[in-house]
Amino acid sequence: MSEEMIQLGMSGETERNLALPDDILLSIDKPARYIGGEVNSVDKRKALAEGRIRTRFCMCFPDVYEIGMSHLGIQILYHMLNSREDIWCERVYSPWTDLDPIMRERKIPLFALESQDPVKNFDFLGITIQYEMCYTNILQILDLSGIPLHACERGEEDPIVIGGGPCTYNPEPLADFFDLFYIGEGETSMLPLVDLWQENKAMGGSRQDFLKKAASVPGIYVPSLYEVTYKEDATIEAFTPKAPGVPAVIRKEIQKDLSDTYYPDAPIVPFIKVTQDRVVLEIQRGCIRGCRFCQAGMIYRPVRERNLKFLQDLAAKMLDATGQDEISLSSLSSSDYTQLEPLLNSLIEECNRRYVNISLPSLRIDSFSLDVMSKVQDIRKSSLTFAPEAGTQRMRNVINKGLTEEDILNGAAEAFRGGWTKVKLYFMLGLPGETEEDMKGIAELSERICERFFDEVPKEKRKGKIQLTASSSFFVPKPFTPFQWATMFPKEEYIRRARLVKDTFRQQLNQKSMHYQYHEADVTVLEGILARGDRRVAPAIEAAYRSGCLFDAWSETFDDRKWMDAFRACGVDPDFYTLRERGADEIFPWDFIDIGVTKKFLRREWERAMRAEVTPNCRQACSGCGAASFGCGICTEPRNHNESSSDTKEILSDEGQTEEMAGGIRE
Amino acid sequence: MRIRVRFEKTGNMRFIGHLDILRYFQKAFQRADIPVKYSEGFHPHPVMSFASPLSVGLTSAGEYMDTELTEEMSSREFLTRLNAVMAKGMKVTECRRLPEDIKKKNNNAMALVGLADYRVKLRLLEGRPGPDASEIRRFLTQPEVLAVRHGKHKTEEIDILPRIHAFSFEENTNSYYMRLAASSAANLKPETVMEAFLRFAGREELMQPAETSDCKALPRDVCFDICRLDMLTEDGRSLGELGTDIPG
Repeated sequence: MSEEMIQLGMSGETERNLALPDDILLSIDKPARYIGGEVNSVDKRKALAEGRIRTRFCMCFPDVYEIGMSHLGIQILYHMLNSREDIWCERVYSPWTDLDPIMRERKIPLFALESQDPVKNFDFLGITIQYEMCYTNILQILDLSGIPLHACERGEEDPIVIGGGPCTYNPEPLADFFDLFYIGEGETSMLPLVDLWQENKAMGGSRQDFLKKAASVPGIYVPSLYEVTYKEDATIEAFTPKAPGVPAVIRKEIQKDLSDTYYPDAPIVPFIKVTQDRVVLEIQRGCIRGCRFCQAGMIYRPVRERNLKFLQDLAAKMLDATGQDEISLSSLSSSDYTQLEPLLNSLIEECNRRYVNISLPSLRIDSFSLDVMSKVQDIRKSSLTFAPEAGTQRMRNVINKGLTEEDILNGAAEAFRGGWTKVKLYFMLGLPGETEEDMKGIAELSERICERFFDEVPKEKRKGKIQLTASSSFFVPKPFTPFQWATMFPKEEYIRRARLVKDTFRQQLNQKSMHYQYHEADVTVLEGILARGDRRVAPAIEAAYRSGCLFDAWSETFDDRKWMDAFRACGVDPDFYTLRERGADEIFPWDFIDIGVTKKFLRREWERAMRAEVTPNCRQACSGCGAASFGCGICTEPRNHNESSSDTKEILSDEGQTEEMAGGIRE
Repeated sequence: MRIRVRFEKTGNMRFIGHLDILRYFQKAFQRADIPVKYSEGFHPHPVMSFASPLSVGLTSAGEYMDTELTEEMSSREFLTRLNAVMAKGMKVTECRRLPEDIKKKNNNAMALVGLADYRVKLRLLEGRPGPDASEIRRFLTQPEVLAVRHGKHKTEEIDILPRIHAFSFEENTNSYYMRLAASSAANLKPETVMEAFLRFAGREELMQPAETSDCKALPRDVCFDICRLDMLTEDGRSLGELGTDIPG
């Protein structure tokens, strides 16, 4: 065995030098998080050395590697940017709490996985912002990179820091820390933005020149070019562009045709087990359902399907290129995909041949889905998941969850007859207008599901005892939902409600077959402040970070006391954001964003919610939300139009029947 | 068709643990479309058996894995297909057919391993000469060399000399070569030998890194560059020699 052969891999290219020395890598948890080099990761060192790379882009998911690597959006953009020969897109994730202090002590700058070069040397740092509880991690990324936290303090040598993802639908609490925000789906304006940057650089333009020009790229929001003024009651008086030519309204970007666009047909294969350790097939974007608490259901409108052939080809290519042993369908509501049956039939055949498992989240439980699941899962081990979200029919109508108790009980009954014994139920607590009856309803509905098991399955046929797990999270009102006007509750009230549910569970006949758990309440309050916060919240985020807050989404690292101290120190009143009643005419921090769905529609939905009135889903009838202005997806398909409320009422008088109709379309 | 595969794990792959290497090969077989045999049941996985796990931080030029193919495939095709889909630092170097007539239990890679060859370099030498062959001779002629062994249930002191089958020094590359016991009954780690040897030679400074204040890294990780070169049977035959090349 020669020296050379040991040091060189098969490709003959030199091994990448790592940014972290061996003594560090061998003393921290999972060193593979930081070494890159995974199968299908992109190495353009040669092109870089030869001067063929004009833009270096570092894409960041501000959480630990295993979480970040499970995110499809980044893989799509990584693939898209790297498909351009003059761009090298790399990745960076949050250093875990064991590495963070070491990097600070040894003054090792944060680096990208592929080249292991410092992030500070890149032209762009793109950060996807998927949940509010990662905000301090964003500051960690900037800090460890040696990039000034505040956009206004950055110089010509610093990367352009751009944010994207669902939280940018209210980017204001983070406005100070970002140069740009990308509002909407990344497939459309990302490359034009890079082109503009290259052009500006070629012409000798400055950072400031670029930011000004970027303001006119569709979907790009440049926070420094806007001014916010406040009224005496501390609500927003006006949100105005500081310069002529800067748009007053930013319209979200969407990829209209999802069957003719970028998709990673060779996703990166991590060495270590990650949270989503499988290839992901996004079958559609958006959702027809219109649940009133759900932000994704509004911001991704209109629903757009990918075509069957596109998905079948893609699935085969991804499995070929990765060798993964599992494929997962991804969408907000897979059962609503019109080609689900042919897609699953072909996938089952393809996957059986390859020893690949199929994972099917977000399926409505009915005879079709149970049949499919019995083919792809081990019934004895797998559990069925229902998301009734609320315990009573009245409350399910308030949130517009088009699911009746009968649907749930019949689905469960069918599952029990099919041999399933494990059931998971998801609920929300703290919903607008929630009464004690609604809270108790969570336990009572769970009880009826249990009883159904004993009714349906005769003693001699029971292959095990029913195990029901109900969990509830506390509802957090999100921008661009009908519930954006909702008030929240103090921490103690959330806990009181959860205890009431727990007590009600204890009173049930089948309490021994049921397990109830609820999420932490203090995280809920914080999430509420950040979700509907404005620019005045930023100093508190920074103060929380400075006092040591990091990985707030992880219960073992979350420190509520530090956060509350930070709010106090910065003069930010949490109650203003969570407990205050918002008026119909209040200007929200996010009102400058146009998601297609109008504020008028959202308000109408809020009022209907207060009357517990159901609104039909997009396939049953168009309710005139405004997303049709994009001229694509379901909005261009022939359907009933029921914009006036009297018409909708008529349709809704027979909700059960319309549900069946919707099911019929799928078959 | 039962085969024995020899592979290298070098460079940055030294940070990938044994269980992840298992998962890695399962995916690599799929990418290369190698007809490996799968187990039965709801979660089928390829039938694979590794000779001996390699500690994180070590590289290797001689790892072995036994598996089964459901179709005939030549050694050359197997290696070409698999190496085309490998991550940098992973390379398969041999593929040999195992005789079918012997009971699996008696000739699987794990059961056969008796010895292992290692090469150790001292990172802190930085070009200076290390303790040499004469020092090794003196070390090996001691009546016994006691070393602490941390077992699962008890910590004991054992004499490591009977487990050192060969130990030499190559001056021009400043490398130590050793052949050590590596069976389930008797096993010895190269770093244990190196630590005892450096202490004997009075060169403890070569295993005391300057900067470990903030790290829990073991001296082994920082000071020794260890490569497993091969695995052998009790009587000194390389595990690969037990199979035959598959022509085609």
